[in-house]
Amino acid sequence: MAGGRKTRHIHEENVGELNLVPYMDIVVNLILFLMISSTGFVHFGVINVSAPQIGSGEVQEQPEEPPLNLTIGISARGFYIEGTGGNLLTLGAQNDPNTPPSIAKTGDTYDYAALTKKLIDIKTLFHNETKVTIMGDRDILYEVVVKVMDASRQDGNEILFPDVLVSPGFA
Amino acid sequence: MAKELEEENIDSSVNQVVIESHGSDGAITQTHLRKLAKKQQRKARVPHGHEDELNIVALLDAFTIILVFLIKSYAADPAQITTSADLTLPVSVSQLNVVDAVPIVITRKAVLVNNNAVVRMTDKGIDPAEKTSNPLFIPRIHEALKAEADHQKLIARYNNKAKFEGLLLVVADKAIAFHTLTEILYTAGQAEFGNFKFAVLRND
Repeated sequence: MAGGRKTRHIHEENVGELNLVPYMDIVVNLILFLMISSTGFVHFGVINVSAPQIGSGEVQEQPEEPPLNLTIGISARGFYIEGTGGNLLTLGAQNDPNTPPSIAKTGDTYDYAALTKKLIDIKTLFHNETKVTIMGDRDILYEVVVKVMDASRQDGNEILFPDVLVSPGFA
Repeated sequence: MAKELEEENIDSSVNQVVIESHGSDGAITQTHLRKLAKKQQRKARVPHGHEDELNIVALLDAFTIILVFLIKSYAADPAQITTSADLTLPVSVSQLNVVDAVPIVITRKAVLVNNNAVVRMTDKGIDPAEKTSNPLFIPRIHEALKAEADHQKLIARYNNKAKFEGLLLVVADKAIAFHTLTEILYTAGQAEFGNFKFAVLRND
């Protein structure tokens, strides 16, 4: 009988213990899954872009300084930079071989550094201007547009033209 | 304590046996050896209920905290963007974080609004069958975005904190043509989405 009591005591002790191994197994698998799929390995960011406002219907106050209307046109030959109401469409600059681009391509690559340098010069003349409109040829790649936005937004710590508008431009 | 006393008694009795088992000439007998072996076994026996196991409670504690942290950071991400062969985002120096907005994904094969495929893409852009007389307007995309806008306005009606801002998250492949982008932006503008966030890969 004493042996029977001892057996029951041992059985009760074993039933009370929690087996942590399966829980540990699940936790480790979950951690591995989350770490592999974690977006921390790839950082995503955003660029703010606006569409051109056409007739808001409200009476707007006339600004003290006339707007620059800075526009960057992206063509297969390079960048066209216009301001103060310059109309790229009427110029037909992208199709006119006699009108060279403001910043031509160097070989097959666009010169983003030169574009930034040009925009820095414009910014020194127009301190308060922050808007830039970007338009381009039909077949210009989205990647080029993003790089132009980067080149026009800032130069190191100096903010250039962070308010970007995208406009359907050249036909 | 009782067990220790019991072992001491055993030891003393074994010692007594050892003394007694020595022959007149002091030689060690087999009985003596057997008893010594038993004594060693008793000493080597692990006390009842004690097992040399790895204590994983502390490790499990640390792992649970790490798991909770990862789940929290995973769930807090406002946009789940999955890149693939058909969707490679352009790289940018922009440091702005991704915000919660209606996503429109433009891959090389399709355009998706809120993870639902809406129109197909060809090598030259959006499938011409999807367009109307206005080359910039795409009806099915407009329909999908209008439904999203109406849904958000309905929510805003009952929740003052969730205002409709016309915010659209554009997740586009870097090889998409500019005309495709402008068509989608124009169509989105017609559906009352005027503020766009272009998703990019951060160049850290």
